Amino acid sequence: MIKSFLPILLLTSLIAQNSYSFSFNNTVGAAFNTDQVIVNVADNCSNLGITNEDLLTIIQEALDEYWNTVATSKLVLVLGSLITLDNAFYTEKMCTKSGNNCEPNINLIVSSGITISCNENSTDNFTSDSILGITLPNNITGSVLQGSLLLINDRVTNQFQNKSRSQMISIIAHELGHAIGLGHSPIKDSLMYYTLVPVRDRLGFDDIDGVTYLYPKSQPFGCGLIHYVNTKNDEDQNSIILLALVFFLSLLIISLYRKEKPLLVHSSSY
Amino acid sequence: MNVKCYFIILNIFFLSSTTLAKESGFDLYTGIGNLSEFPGQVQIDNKGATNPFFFKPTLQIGIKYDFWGNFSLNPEFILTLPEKGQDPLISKFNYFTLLSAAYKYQDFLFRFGFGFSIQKISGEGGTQALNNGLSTDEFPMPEASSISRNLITLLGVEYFILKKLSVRTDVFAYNIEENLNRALSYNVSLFFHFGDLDLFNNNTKKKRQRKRRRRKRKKPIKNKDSK
Repeated sequence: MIKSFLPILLLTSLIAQNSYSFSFNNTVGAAFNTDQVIVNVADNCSNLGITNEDLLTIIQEALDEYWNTVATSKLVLVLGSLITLDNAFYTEKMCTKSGNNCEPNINLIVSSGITISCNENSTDNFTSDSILGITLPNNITGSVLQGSLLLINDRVTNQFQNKSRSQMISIIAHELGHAIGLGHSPIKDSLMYYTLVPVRDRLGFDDIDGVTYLYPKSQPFGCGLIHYVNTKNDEDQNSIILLALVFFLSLLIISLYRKEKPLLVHSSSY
Repeated sequence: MNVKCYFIILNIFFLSSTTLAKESGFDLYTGIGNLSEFPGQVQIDNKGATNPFFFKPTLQIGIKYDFWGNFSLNPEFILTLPEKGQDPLISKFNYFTLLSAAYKYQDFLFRFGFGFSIQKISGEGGTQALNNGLSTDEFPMPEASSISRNLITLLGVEYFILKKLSVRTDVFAYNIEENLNRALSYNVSLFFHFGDLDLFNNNTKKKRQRKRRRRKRKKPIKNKDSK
């Protein structure tokens, strides 16, 4: 019977299933170290074509339809409140240096959680109306993400205001993905794909894998509070397989030591 | 490594579960199957489509102990084949450790239980050039392993096609008590049942001896009449 399983094993191992390729938006794979992250919203938006209350509702839907639906992730994004921010959040640039090495503007540092603000800076932030939003985890300590800033294009000619409600929700959800530490994905069915697609109303597998990687669920209790294991892949895999073998060997050994039924002896006599 | 910790706890639990086993009624089984994770909940293209089925082969092994009437206990281990596809930089590996109680009714076995779903996602580091706004940027890739663990509830139905061959469908429920991130996966499998294993032949020898004695007793005694 073992021989008949071998061809099936070989066949299934040859069938390559698509794997996905999420990425990060920072070099250390930083993540929030709390299970709940508060998302606050600035009351400075004036050209989005929606009221502040509408914006809050859209953000709530982005949280509930996307990032809070991942069964294998412990992260819960909680909508905070409307807050009043310094005018710098509306006018200043996100990075003091341009190009790939962004130096966060110290006037826009978010001390904790995620802050969503509108911004009209067209020189550095929104050089085109087609850029709907930009996000930067601008407060990182080691590999711990302390705060992220999400800026929505509030220029008079911004294209965000022309989007449908479901598109607005997916745009906010995409930027929130950056705010929790994810980069772009090359897969079109992923929310973290770099541009809008015709229909988007759920996460793709790549998004699920990315948020699970950064915020792994640990039910029902953790044997220690290890966020993720920083070991070589082969060592991990080998030890898991070894433990599985130990598990089944122990079950087999138990089966050998089960009690025998006593023999029933018949006696007959003439 | 916290995986080792909970594995040790599970081993102790399963070993102690064998004390409930009756002296008869033991079955070792292995199987192959297919796991569909979160059907209907994940977008699979850029037009919003979802899929009720995903191809993810599984290997399974388990033991069935009869412990009271038609009820049995079934500790089980399921693992998926490691995935490595278009992007060789990310790999994913799932396994499950389960304990269920089953009720046998004719050729059916109805199962209910709990277990752990463990998912390991690994990366090899490096960067990937991807579009970013109007230009491209090098996005960092994960360079370590991350393991998530979910406590799941399972419901299943098994049908015995033959005495040693069965098919089964299991549904795994994640976060059953929560509203937003409750999710379901299902696994369809085919099993071969080895029955009671006897690795060192000691019990087989004794069984043969018992069989020979029974045969001898059953032989009719020849009556010899002498004139």
